[in-house]
Amino acid sequence: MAQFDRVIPPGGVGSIILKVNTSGYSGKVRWQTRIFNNDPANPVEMIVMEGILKPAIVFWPTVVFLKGSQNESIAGSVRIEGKLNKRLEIEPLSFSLAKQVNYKIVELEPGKVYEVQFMSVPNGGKRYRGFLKLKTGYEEKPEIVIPIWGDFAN
Amino acid sequence: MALLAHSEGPASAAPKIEIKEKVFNFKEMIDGQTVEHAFQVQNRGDQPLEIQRIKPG
Repeated sequence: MAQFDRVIPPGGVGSIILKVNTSGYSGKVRWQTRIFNNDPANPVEMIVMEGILKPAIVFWPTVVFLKGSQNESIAGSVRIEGKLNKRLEIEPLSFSLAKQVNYKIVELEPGKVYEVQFMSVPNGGKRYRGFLKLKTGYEEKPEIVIPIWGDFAN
Repeated sequence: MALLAHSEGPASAAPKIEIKEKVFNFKEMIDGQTVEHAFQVQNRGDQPLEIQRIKPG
């Protein structure tokens, strides 16, 4: 998003304000913006915003695959780690697979690292996709969503 | 001689864009936040400078 002064008089100074929502980006980023103007010698000027985006919370794997026989209970887990210098608390917000999957949240390192352990319910369905949404207590990343995919053979 | 006089004559009136800080480095930030920066644009010419369009990429 950009706000800018459309006309700058001779000798004057104006501004171009750029706002970028960093959601969905990570690591080293570089955003370029072209400025089209009526300077005949330099009709397209370039400005750049760059830096490093660090995650507040890392969780891995980013998708839980539960695969096996329908009559078995298949396990999967996700490790969640807070990366800020403050306590991470997580609690469930919503879960879309209550009939197909059971889960529990285990605190591995108090206030920092958690594991969510999933277990498929035998004969809970052949194929499904759903999610577990967790509240984190971090204002920088208030929620995380863990996708869960089930794929079971007879 | 006439050619030299022509080349040293005043340039035609035009705006001239100048952006001193073209690259803003925000160092490190937690993802999910909004980064905002105001770039200063100066008109060093003798006609009004018009910013016609801003395009990302």
